Amino acid sequence: MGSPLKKIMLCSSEKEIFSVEEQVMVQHSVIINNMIEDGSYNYEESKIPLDCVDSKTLKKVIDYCTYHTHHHNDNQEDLEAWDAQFLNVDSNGLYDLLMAANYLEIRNLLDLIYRTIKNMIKGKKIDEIRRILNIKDHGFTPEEEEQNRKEYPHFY
Amino acid sequence: MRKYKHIPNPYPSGILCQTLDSCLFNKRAKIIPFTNNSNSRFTYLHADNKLDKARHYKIEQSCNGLLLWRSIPGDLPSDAGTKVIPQGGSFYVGNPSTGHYVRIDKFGYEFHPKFSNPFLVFEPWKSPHYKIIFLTKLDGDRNKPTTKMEMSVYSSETGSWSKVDFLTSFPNNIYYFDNGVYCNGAIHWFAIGKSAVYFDVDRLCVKNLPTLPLPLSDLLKDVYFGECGGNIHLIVAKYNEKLRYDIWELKEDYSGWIVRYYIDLTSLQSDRGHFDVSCVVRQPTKEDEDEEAMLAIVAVEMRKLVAYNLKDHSSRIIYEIKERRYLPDLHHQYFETLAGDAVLGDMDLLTVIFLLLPVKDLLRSKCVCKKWKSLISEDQFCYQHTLGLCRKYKHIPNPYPSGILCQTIDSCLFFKRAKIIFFCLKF
Repeated sequence: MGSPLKKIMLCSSEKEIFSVEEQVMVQHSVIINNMIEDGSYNYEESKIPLDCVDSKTLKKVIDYCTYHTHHHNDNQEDLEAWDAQFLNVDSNGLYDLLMAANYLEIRNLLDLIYRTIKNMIKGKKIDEIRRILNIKDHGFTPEEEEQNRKEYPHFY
Repeated sequence: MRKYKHIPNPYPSGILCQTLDSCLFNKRAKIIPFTNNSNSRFTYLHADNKLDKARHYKIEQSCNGLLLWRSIPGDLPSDAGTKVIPQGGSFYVGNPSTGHYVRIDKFGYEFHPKFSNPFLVFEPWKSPHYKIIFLTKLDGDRNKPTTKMEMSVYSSETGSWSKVDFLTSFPNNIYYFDNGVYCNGAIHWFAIGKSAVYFDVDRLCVKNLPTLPLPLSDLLKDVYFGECGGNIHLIVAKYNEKLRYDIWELKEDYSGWIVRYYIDLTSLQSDRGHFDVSCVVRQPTKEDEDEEAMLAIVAVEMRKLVAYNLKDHSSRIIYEIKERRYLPDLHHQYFETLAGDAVLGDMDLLTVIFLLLPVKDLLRSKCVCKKWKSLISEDQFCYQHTLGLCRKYKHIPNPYPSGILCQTIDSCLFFKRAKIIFFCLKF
C-alpha cells in the first residue's frame, strides 16, 4: 500500500473525475483495494472507471469513506448520528447508493443501507411502505389488490 | 491485447459435472471439489420452468462465477459422443453457489446451422453485468468465402438482445465453429490443420492466431483448447511423444505460443494412456509458495477424475466416475463466489433486506407489490429465512451458539427435556 497522501482517480458514469486519497478508498472498498494490491493501477495515468455510478452518488460514497476514515475513533453515537444524516436522501438516491456500495463492495455502507431500508419496511403499513420506497406500480390486478385488502385489512 | 486487468479472475474451487442419465433430467449438476476433504454435493437450477416444456437442462458454460444453462426440449442424441445440437429451448443464467437464477427471454431467432455456441461473458472486475454472445455466419456464395456475419448480444444491463451485422473475412474452413473460447474480449478458435483465428468482439474484426512453432507433421491432434485466468491454453498430442503432453500458452501480446507446463502420463498411472482434459485451472497461492498452483483436471480412462498438479506433477483422484461415460462437454468449472449475484436482478439485494426482517413484516411485505411477493414466496428464500442463516453475505455472521443442550440418559430422554447449559455464567 502506498503512502497515505497518494491520490487515486475515480471516473463516474458522466466521465467526471474525482481525486481521492488512496487510503480512504483502499480501506473501504474491496474492489479498489484489490486493484491497488494487484499493482495494475498506474498513479500517473490510470483512472478507475465506475460506469454504473453517477457523479452525485460517487460524491456521496467518497464523502462516506472519507468521513469514516478520518473519524473512526469518534464515539459510536456521533458516528451513528452522522450516518443517519448521511442517508437522509430520497428513495431513488438510497437505491443508487445501494447499487454503488454493492458494486464497490463497501461492506460498512452496504450494511448501513440494508439496515436503513429494513427499518423503513419494519412495522409499517403497506400504503406507507409504498409511499416511502416510491413504489408506484405494484403489479397486482385491481381484483388481486381488492382481494388482498379484504383478506388482510390490518396490513393497509 | 490484454485490454484491462485489475482484479485477478476468481479461482475455481471445483468441477461441475453433469451425467447423461440423471443430472440432465433433474436440472442438477454434481459439484466435485478439488480438495478431497469435503464430499461432493449437487447444485440445482432453481428456476421457474412452468412455461418451459423442456426435458433436459444442460450447463452450456461457466464463467467466473456465473453459469449459463440451457433447457433442451425433446430427446438427446442417442450417441453420447456427439455434441448436443442447440435447438430451441431457453437460457438461464445463475450463480450455483447461491442458487439464484434468471430466465433470459428468447430473442426470436431461428436456430441456424451456422450458429456459434453461446458465449457467456462475465468479468466482475470490469463490469457487474454479464453478456451472452452468439455469432452467426450468414449464407454466402458457395465459391466465395462468407464475409457477412451477425452478432447477437444479450446484456443484463439493458435486459434485451441486440444485433449487429458486419462484414469480415472469416475463414471458411472453421467447421468447428461451435468450439470457440472466449477470453479477454475475443473469441478464439483453434484446431490442428484448420485456420486458427480470433474474433475481437469490440472491434468486430477477425485476426489470425500465431501458429505453433512445430512442423505440422509432428502434430497428432489437439487435446484441449481452453481459457484459464485470462490465458489461452492449448494441449496437443505429438506423434513422437506418447507419454508427455505439452501445454502451450498464448503469449499475452499474441505474438506466439510457449510451452508453460506439461502432463506426464507415467505419473497418471494410466495403462492405455487414454485421457481427456476437462480444464486447466489456477489455484490460490499456498503459504509457503510464491506462485499460484496450477492444476489440470484430467479424466483418466473415462472413469477417474484426477487433479494433476502442473508444478510438481503429483496427482490425486478427486472422483471415481460411476456413470456410464465421461463427456468433457458436460464438465464445467465451479466458482464459489458471490460475484454476479447482484446483477441477477436487483432482487437479490432486496433478498438480503428481507432476510433481516421478522416473519410478521414479511407477510405484510408480500402485499406491497408483485415483485416482492414472488421473491418472498420463493422456495430458496423461505429455506434461507427459515434456517435463519444470512450466509449469503459473508459480513453478516451466522448466529453464535450460546449454550449446550444436554440430555442425560436417565431423566431427560424419558421426560422430553434437555438441560440448557449456557457458556456465559451470567445467565
